[in-house]
Amino acid sequence: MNPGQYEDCARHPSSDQLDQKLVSRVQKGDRSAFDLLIVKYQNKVASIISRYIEDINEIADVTQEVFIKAYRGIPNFRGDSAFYTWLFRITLNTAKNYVLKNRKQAGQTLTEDLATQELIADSWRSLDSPERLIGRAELAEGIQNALSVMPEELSVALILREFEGLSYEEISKVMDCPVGTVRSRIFRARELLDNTIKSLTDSQ
Amino acid sequence: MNERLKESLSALLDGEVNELELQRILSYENKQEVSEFWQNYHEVREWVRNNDSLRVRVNVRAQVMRIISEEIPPHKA
Repeated sequence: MNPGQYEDCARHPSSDQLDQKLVSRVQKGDRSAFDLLIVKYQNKVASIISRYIEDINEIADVTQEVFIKAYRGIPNFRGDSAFYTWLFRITLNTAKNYVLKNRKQAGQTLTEDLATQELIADSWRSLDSPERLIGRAELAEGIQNALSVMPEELSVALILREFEGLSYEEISKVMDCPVGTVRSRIFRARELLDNTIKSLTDSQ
Repeated sequence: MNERLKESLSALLDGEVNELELQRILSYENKQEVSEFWQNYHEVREWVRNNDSLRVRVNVRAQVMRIISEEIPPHKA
C-alpha cells in the first residue's frame, strides 16, 4: 500500500459530483442509484462504526441500519454539505445510539488521557519484553490497540481525517462540535499514538 | 515545546493553520525540537494510513436493497 493512498479519497470533486447525481436519482425514486452508493461507502461506514463496536456481525448490522436510515432520510438531504458528510453523521449517531441502547456502555467511555494512557500501556504490555524485537506487525497491532482504547471522539476524528481525508470543518459537521475541538482531538490522538510508537520501539 | 505549538504542528500536517500560526512555528527557537515532532506526526500518519487492520470490510448491499425494495421509494418534497 502506498503512503497517502487513501488521502482525500472521498473528497475528490468528481467523486462529490457523482454522489450528488446518484442522490438526485434516488430522490426521484431510482433505487439502483442507492445500490451504487452502498457499495461505495459501506466499508468506510463500517470502519467508522468499528471505533465504537468490536464485533464484526454487530458492525455489519449497524452498517445496514445506517444505510436504511440514509435511504429513508434522503428526501430531506438538500446537498448543503457533501453526501458523505451527511452519511458519516448518520453513522456516528447510529453507532452511538446502538452502544447506548444495547450495551449501556456510555459510562465506560474514557475522558481522561491519563486513564487512556494506562489502558494503552496495558494493551501492549504483553509485547513489551526487553529481549524481544518489535516487528512491524506488532507495532501495527500496538497502534490498533491504542486506537481501540482511546476515547472514541479522538479515534473517530483521526480516522475521518486520515482515512477519509475530511477537512476539520467537515469533521466538525460530522461530529457536531467546533472546529477547534476537532483540531484538539486529532492532536491528542496523534500524541497518544506517538507515545505508543515510542514505547514500543524503545523496548527494542 | 508547549502543547499549543505541538497542536499547531499537528494542524500544519493537515494544512489547517493560518499564516500567523505558520510564522509562530517557523520562528520557534528550538528548530531541532520542531523537526522531531514534525517527523513524529508524519510517522503516526503513515502507521495509521497503512494499517490495514483498522479497515473493516462488510457487504450489506444485498440485505439493504432487499429491505428498501419493500418500501415506497422516497421522493424529495
